[in-house]
Amino acid sequence: MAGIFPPLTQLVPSYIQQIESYIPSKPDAVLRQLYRAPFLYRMNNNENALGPPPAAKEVIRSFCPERAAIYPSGDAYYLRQRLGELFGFSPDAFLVGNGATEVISFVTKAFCQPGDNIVTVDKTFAVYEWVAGFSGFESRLVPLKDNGFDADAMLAAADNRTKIIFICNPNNPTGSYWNETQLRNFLDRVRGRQIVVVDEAYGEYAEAADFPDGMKLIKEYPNLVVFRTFSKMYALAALRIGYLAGHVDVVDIIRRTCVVYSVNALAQEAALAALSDDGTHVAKTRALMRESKKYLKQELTHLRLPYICGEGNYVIVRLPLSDTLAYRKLMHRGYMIRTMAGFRFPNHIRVTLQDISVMEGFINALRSII
Amino acid sequence: MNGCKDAELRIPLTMAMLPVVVGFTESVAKILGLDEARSLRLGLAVEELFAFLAPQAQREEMIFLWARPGGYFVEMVCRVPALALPTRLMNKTAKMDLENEELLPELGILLAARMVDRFRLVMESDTEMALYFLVEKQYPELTAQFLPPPPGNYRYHTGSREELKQFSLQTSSAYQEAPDFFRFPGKVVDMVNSGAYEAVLATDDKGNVGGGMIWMRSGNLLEAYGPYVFQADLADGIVEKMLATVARSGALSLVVRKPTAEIPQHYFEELVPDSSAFSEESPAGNTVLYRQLAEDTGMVVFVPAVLKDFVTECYDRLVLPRDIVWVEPAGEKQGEHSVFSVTVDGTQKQAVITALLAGADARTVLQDYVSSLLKQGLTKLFFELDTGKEAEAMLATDLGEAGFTPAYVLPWGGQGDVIVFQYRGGA
Repeated sequence: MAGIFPPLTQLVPSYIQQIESYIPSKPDAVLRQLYRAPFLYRMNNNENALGPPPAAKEVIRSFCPERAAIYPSGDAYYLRQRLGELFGFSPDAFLVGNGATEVISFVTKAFCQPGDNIVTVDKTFAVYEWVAGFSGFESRLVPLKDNGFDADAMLAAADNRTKIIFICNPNNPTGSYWNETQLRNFLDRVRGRQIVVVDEAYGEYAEAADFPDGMKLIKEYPNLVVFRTFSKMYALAALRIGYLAGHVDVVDIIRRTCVVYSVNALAQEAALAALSDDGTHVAKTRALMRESKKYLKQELTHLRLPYICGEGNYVIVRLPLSDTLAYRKLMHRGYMIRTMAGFRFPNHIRVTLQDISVMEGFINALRSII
Repeated sequence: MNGCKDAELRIPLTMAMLPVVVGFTESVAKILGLDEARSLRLGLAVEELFAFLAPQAQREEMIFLWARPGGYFVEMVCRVPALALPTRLMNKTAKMDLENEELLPELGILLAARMVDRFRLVMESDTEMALYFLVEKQYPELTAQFLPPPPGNYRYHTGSREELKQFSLQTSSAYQEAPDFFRFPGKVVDMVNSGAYEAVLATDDKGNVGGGMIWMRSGNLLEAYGPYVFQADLADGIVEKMLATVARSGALSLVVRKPTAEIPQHYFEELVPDSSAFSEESPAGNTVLYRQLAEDTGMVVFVPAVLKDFVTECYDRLVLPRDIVWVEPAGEKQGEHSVFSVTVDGTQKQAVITALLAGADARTVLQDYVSSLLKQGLTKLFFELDTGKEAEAMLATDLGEAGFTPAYVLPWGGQGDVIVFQYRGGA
């Protein structure tokens, strides 16, 4: 008997029918061929141009292929032990996910039910909004104020159905941040009514003296959950590993929605090795970013292109043309940047900082298209 | 019934069920908001289809009817077995020999297509086709004298019902080239409230409307109108807000075919390579503006080989990454009949033809369309060829012979990129 096509309009929830699936970019080799690019520099995903710390590289190199047959630790046992030692918490205060994006899903599922909402800003990392959308929860998007988070407006947007407030600190893509005083003030005003997620994916890049360490505030604010990732500073993006930290009782709730065994063994071991770095990797990366950022700002000023530059390994640039047209033209010249139309910054591009030689080539390409 | 939102009927395709089908269609059409005359039109379209199919149907074959309200219209979707429907008669230009009694049963299908405001035919699978009959509701035409709003602090947002009505009135009085629907403010409200269209308006805190844009989605493409600006310096804000609104919609591209003079062009790209050769001049001068909303990571397109020079130039100029399959007829057998759909904008004297089915009689049917549309006083005729549909590439030669020449490529305009042809006459 032939199969009968399912009645999708009846089977699929309305909130799923209303959203579009995210279509990731094609592999670099395919894109390079399509755009007839002579080479392709990735300046779109804020990856670390230096690659992983040496110890992590060594773990990856020496991973025994036979071990691929063995399940990993289902809850990243050793990694959580190490994180506990580093930050002075119980290992149970941590939850490791298949990239920090997975832990966004854990938190949202743990605290929201139909009718609830989350609060974040309109121009920030899109995944908070997407996860809420495909889970059937409302996203309340507060406009940025002077490219930064507006505490008053975010609090005003929250109501008794608001379960989570997401703060990307520093913000992707603006690089703006709340210092410790601002963060504390906000947490004080929330008064524990909602879970406040502070996403520190780019925290290790921040060099401002007053940039806060969210981990240090967890003991004072049990409604605070901090996200970190190994994808950015530690350059393990291909292995997909990130984590959250919070009060043990809060994390215990989140763990109930956690997909165990989602983080592979190599990722866990490489992350563990990355944490053993003596600080050299972070220092070298920061030095490269400083140099690159200084060069880029100077060249953008010469080109009379406005830019937004804060903490993080990226800068956004306002162009006198469509950002998606600029993407195609730059791809043809070998430079893959991120268009900002999807971040609600039309005609802006976000550029990941690379070493100077790449930045020089990028500036030449940019000059040729404007 | 689902809270009067929509209604379904699954019923055997036998003549005994005809009254049930017609009764269902007319009743639901009224419940969903059509007036008596329009409900009868929809009922007649479904009746003619059913009466044609039922005598040919096998014993257990069914018809599935789904009526849905679209805010400003009611649409009846009829899923039927892919019986030998005389698809050529779905063309609004189809003619019949009324003296030939053998063909009389087909007359009903011809009538069905003409009873409705819009009609679509979709082959759902090898064994099932869906016919979409759409009838719009009736709205009063309203006019008002244009009164420029005062300067002030305008903010950009979706707009309330009354603000949308005010926007429509102002637009139709200030912009002669604005689409027909602005003359019917109630329709614009229903278009937006139903979700078929979206809008961004600039309003102040005194209820003044300073301008706005309106757009609709069709697959990957957003089709936008405006910006209509009644107070200086609002165009950038309107366009920025519109782009922010659609930023995470999943749509890939946006086109403004008749941009107003106020449109900030730096947000867009020009699609028409030689605007002097394009008779669809707009107030903005450069005819068709476009932008992508996401990074273009390429696709496969089927392009008629006879258009190689034109399409290659367009793709190079727009820097579009495409895997191109150049299609050339090689004597293979085609379906016998073509079916085309036409959308008419009487105010603009414009018609856009698209292919529902590409068949061997395409040139003749196209020529019939051109002749019929010109007789109706329409002067701007376009044909949109979807490069995502392999079969449509075969139409290029017929289009040329029917008097159409390629004007521009609209990226992601359909299943693939759309090549827009304009009728130049002479066929």
